[in-house]
Amino acid sequence: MHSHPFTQTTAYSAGQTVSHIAGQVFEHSLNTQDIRRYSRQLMLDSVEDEGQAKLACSHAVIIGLGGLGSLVARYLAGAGVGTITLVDGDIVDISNLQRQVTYNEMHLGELKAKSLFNELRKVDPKLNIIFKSIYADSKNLPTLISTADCVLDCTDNIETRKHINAVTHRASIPLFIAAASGLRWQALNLPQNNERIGCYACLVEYINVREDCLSKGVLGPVVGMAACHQATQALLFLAKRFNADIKWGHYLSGNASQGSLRSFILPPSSTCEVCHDPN
Amino acid sequence: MTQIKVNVNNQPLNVIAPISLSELIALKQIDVDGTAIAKNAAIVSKREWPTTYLNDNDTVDIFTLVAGG
Repeated sequence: MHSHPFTQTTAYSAGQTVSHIAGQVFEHSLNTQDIRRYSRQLMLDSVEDEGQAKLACSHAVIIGLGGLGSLVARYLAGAGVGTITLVDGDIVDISNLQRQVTYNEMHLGELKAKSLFNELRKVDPKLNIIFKSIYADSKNLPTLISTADCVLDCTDNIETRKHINAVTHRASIPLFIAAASGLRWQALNLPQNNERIGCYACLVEYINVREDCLSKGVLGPVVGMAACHQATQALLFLAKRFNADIKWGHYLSGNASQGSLRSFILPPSSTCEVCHDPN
Repeated sequence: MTQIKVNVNNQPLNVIAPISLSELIALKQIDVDGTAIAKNAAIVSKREWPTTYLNDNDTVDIFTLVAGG
């Protein structure tokens, strides 16, 4: 087990692990079944027992439960993220089944948040899954994310994305963004507490982002690629927090047709209404 | 007037300097709606496109932002 300068880990009997990072204490016991369940990721340097303990003590808020969020939620639950809040006011429609792989015909007409809650409970009934069958907006977001260790923006419209960015920035809660349309997918990790890194509002400032899955269409696996990246980044963060070996403030743009991936630095904008401090 | 060589979306392009990002977009007849530009792998705010000029061997990436999920 590695030891980081900012991390102290103490191994207790019966697989109990207690970790301390920046004054926070993470305590979780891995029993025999946990060790079997998580054996494939416990072998990774980026997880190990200590990271697994942190995952179990983590709270991730997933906003939007469509092609991105439904898959992200499944991966986070499978990896053992202890508390997951699912937020979406939408219902399952037959047009969703092409790409929203967690749902099937049995779920048609049901609230996505409730359907996904039921499916995740089948994956691991010990997890604390909370579902909110509401659409996120500027009024309810502060409460929805107040106890989150990270937020995953899995929504499909620019206005909600802007609200999520603003609220997570105010609360200094790390934000993992992904999006897809056509054969392209994009993603961005924002620490929301680093003045050298721009925010989502800096990215879309003065830009009329009009594309979405309704107007341009999308191939199911392309959303899946975005979701898999987003879930990976969030899990690595939750397991090691700011010691995780992930890139913050780099905008990824993937072309699924060409199999290409480009990465761009997102500097802060001097006129950003969200992250620029005129003082 | 000086001719410079830049790389736009992985394609070499000879242009006459001085040329700004706004002028490059106009030259390439690209629809600016939803478009973002990175110069030498750093995103440039749209507000700064008219005053951001290209140098020889600069790399420009022009791409459309997406928001679907």
